[in-house]
Amino acid sequence: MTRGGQVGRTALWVYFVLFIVFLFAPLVALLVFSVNDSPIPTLPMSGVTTKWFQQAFDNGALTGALVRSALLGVIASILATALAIMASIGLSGGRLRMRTLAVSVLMLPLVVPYISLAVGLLILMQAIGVNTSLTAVVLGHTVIALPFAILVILPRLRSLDPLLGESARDLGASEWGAFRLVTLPLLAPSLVSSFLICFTTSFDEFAIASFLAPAGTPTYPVFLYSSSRTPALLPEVIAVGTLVIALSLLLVAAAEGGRRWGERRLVGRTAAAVAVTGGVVKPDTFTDAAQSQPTQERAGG
Amino acid sequence: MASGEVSLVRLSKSFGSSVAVDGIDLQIPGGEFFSLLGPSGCGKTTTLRMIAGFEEPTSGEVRLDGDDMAGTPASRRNVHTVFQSYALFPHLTVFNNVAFGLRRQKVAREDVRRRVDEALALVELVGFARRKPAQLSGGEQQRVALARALVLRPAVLLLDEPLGALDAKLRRQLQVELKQLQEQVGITFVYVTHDQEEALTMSDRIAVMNCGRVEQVGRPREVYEEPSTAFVADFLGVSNLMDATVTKRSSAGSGASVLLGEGVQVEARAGDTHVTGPVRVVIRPERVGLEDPSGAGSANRVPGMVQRTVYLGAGTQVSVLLATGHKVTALVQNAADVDPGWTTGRPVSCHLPPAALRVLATTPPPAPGAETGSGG
Amino acid sequence: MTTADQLVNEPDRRPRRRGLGRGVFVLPPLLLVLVLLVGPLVLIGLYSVGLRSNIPGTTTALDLGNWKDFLTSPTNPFRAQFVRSLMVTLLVSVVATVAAYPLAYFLSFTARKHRYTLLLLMLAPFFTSYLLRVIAWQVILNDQGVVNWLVQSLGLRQHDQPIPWLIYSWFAVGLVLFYSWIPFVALPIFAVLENMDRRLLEAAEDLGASRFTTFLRVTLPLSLPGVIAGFVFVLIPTTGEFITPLLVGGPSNQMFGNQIQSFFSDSPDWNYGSVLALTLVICVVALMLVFGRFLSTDLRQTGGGDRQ
Repeated sequence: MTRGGQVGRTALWVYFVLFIVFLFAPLVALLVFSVNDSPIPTLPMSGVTTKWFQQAFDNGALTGALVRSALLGVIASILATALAIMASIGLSGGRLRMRTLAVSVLMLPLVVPYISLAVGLLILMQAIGVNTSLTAVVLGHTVIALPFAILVILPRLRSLDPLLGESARDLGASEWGAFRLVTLPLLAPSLVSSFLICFTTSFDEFAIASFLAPAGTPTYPVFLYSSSRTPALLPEVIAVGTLVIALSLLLVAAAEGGRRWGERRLVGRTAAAVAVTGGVVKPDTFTDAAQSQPTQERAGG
Repeated sequence: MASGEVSLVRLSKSFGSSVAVDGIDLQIPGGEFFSLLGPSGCGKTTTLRMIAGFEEPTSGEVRLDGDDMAGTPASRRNVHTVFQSYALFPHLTVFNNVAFGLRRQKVAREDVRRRVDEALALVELVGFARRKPAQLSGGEQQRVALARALVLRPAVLLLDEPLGALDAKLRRQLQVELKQLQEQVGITFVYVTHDQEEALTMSDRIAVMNCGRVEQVGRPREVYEEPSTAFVADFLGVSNLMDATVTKRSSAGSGASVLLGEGVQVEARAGDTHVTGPVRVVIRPERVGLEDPSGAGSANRVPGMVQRTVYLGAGTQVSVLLATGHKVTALVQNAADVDPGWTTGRPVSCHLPPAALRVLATTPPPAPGAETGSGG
Repeated sequence: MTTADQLVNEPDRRPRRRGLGRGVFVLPPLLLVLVLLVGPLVLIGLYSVGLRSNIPGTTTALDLGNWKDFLTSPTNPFRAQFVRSLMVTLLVSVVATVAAYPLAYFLSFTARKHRYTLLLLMLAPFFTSYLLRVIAWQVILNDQGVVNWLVQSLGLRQHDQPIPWLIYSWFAVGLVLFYSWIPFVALPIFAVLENMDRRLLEAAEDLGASRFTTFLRVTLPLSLPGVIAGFVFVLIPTTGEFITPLLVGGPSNQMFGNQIQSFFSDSPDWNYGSVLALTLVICVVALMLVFGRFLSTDLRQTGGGDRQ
């Protein structure tokens, strides 16, 4: 490698590392301040304490908001994933023009700014006589999560061998039976991804929740926002925030690990099979080509 | 007990404006190994899918043991399919794959276990029950697919080019095994393939299909040695199709007189020897005799010149350009200790035995000038 | 993930069936989106032209006055803010795209073996709560925050003299927006670089180009579709951004999204607010229509498969 090439490489490494530091800096800051024995998050550190965590968990409003957001997230994920499965099945056939139209509509939530959607939903709720309601929040979250779920599930569904479904029916399964026993298990990895993405989207959503969640029952982001204006609450907020972040990171790591494990299990040592049989078994008989790139499942939050 | 008889009555299938299957009639008696043979797109797979119930016929009937299958969905017909890609459920073990159909029929647990073990033994996969499809070789996967279908004791087994994904040697081995299996189990096999060698090897009878129609149905020997159309002749191997004219039809004791061209008259005893006029004649390469040119001119011997030889191992393929302008391929067995020495450029006399020379009247040659005689 | 285009244009491998078939399954999700997304947008539209009102007893009639005022009035403050907002968005998008390129290049070319792990590392913060990260920046940038403490301990500034432009300023807003979107911008660039035929680069070097020239004349032009995709990725969502200005921006650093928010929380004038909300939607849709083609077609042409 040339000198210039070597310098280039080093420069890029430095740049990347600096960026990683930059990207994780706020997370580290939160971690540091969550154990900082001072009511104001400032340096130098006054001492290490866990009292903020204690205080946070004693704070009913805070824990209530957390649980509420988690619950809403689960419900929205289930709804969005189920609807995405239906959409994927529906989009696997039919005429091209209808499909194009349907896809355009289904992908709309990706494009519409959440603030505009939020005020629109507010107007809608007012028009039907409901002003604020958690149900409205869940439904709003389902709508915005739906496109992500479809983008994850549909390619996976498409990549399944259509003959598998036929084979199941050939052997006596009903349409629903074939779906339940063959399609659904094979969709499993994408369903998990869908859940995670939908949950993250809902849990972190602020605009819709800020307009539609009733005043006494805020979601976690809404609560976060209002507490961030109260300096006294800041350390507790930071403490819980640290935990939430730690949990998210763990989930990401677990999801990636789980996805790789799930693929291995489903495919069952394909590489070994190919090698052992001298190429008689074709590697792409069972591998989902669409799953081979990890970048596949990253979606916006 | 169902005998597994399949009847197709004026069966047709169109997809929009394109006709895939054009009114075919077939009777397949129970217990027969029946092949649908033809090139890609000839409609054989579509026909199979209509028997299975995956496609609804546009018109005509599919009858199984006399019962019209219209309105009966695939999941309720007593036929099962082995696909070319096997379509094994990747997330299930071999055992659960084979047990799948039994469970849909709500068979009792102990019976499921017993029958699955029997089926695995039948296809010689004892001990493979716990494995997943991805851990199996192609041949093993195919056997699981077979076991999965056979465990349900169907009246008819449909096979859609099941050996297509395997290499040549494995394919030949499995052809033999499949045939033996069919004889052992005794049910009707309807087998789709584009490989004529495969069809000839395994079948009791073959239906040769082309463009949605059945051109000929018969035993392998019939279809090969007595092709009724030029297409069948050409599809089942090298045919040496030649344009000719029958000048005198056959009579008792002698065959038709056929003018091959340029004053070369030969006698043909096989095929449509009662017609006169322009026809095509066919002779199989292994029936063509190559002799020293000194004999040219005597009965059914046409002078020519060797153009090319291809060494095939068991025999040699010799391409000869006849004096009439036709190109003929001969297959000479490498049985002698001495190499007969048919080298390029060497003059030769081609013996076309009358009994092997077949007249095809059903497809007269195109107008002169459009095509030179083909063969080989 | 595939783009919407790819979702539609993949050949249908299933044999066609007569009758309803499975197409009917797409109706429930479609209905949900129509009612809960298209519906609200329609309502916003109606409000913006005076056909509906949130104040009981007001007469409703088609009235384009609010639109006229917003679009044509010479000193409309909201329109000025809209333009300002767009400028900020544009600036942030450009800076983010430029800064993201070396990251993508690094992952695809330099860190060959571990690139997917490093990519995951780079994306990981993105999966944590957005609000929390903005709050974290607030803590870092404010007067008693980490940066000021650092600067003061190094003696560069006196105590009680925090850097004024660090927080509640356009700098803060820009920095946090830049921070939030960088990994997202790097993704499509990375995808395109990954799918690039490396032999083209070898050919260039074989023909005598230096590494830098190869980059300039081969890699960069070929990766342009990914760059544009990344740019669009950050541009479109940022136009509607309001959380960041809310938390780290001062009163004069509010963006268009904030304006919309305040119309619907503080003032009763939902009609005017709807004009703004609809303007934002139209703006974003227009951007999508103009730049959307770069998100799908070109990525496919370079052989690039997945974006995002």
